[in-house]
Amino acid sequence: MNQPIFTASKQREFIFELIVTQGDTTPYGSASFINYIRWYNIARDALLAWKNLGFQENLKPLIETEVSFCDIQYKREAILQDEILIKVNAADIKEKGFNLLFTLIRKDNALLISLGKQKICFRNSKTADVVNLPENLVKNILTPIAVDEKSLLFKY
Amino acid sequence: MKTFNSGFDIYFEDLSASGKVHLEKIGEWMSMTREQYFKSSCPDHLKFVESPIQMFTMGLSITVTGTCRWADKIQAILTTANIKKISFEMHIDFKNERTGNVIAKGVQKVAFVDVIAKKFTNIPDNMKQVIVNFTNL
Repeated sequence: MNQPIFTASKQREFIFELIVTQGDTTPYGSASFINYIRWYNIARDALLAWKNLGFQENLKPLIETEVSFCDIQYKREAILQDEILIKVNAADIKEKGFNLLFTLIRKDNALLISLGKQKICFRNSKTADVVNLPENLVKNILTPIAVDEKSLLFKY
Repeated sequence: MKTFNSGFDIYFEDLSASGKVHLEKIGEWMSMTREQYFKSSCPDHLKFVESPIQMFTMGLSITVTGTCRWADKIQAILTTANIKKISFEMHIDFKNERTGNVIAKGVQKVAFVDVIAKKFTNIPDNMKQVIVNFTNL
């Protein structure tokens, strides 16, 4: 039986675009590291909000996104007015959680600025229970951008 | 083991609905703890502040382990590790003083760079002595 062949050209990702603003920068003109946390959170929430995630109606007001672990690596500075792209992929999708991998590059020349990773689950803020991932989220949002982390060029 | 301790207050806006402190806030506390650490532990830190040598963060990780409510007080407990020629790691545990639980653990890798020469440089001697004193062997 023919197996689908995975190639880099078939890799899909969610892309979010930002510009480095005055308030992001240090006295030396480059964006401070704290922004990388904020930018990755914005990209994550843009991904997880752009479609109906598939939670039951009665759960929707109670569900919150929880990041139990985040890791960020600096590769190169981002400076004022740089247009940057954050590429987001999913990995290690399980019943109750998944990872998001972030690749932050400069838009005009694709230079790598930072890599990030978040371990994510959804918690019922009232009962504190971690809830199963909705099928819709897995099928329509995470799987299309899923990668095998071990096969990637970068170590997140 | 010698530790550097610092404190922060929890405000309503710092928390999610389930009482987790937002990652951005923990990142901000890590940077503030780093600078408080050098200000209070390194008597001649102004020599560094006025020099072309600057610290910058090469990597950071945060593990969230617990919850808070507003008006709680958080104790930041800093130690150092993996001290190299140009870099070291700060390990910071954030403990809720009301419950005694650690609510987050952060690791920040800090390197030193000469901003005029635009290259990495050794950890300044006066700061290295302070960093070594707080190592968590």
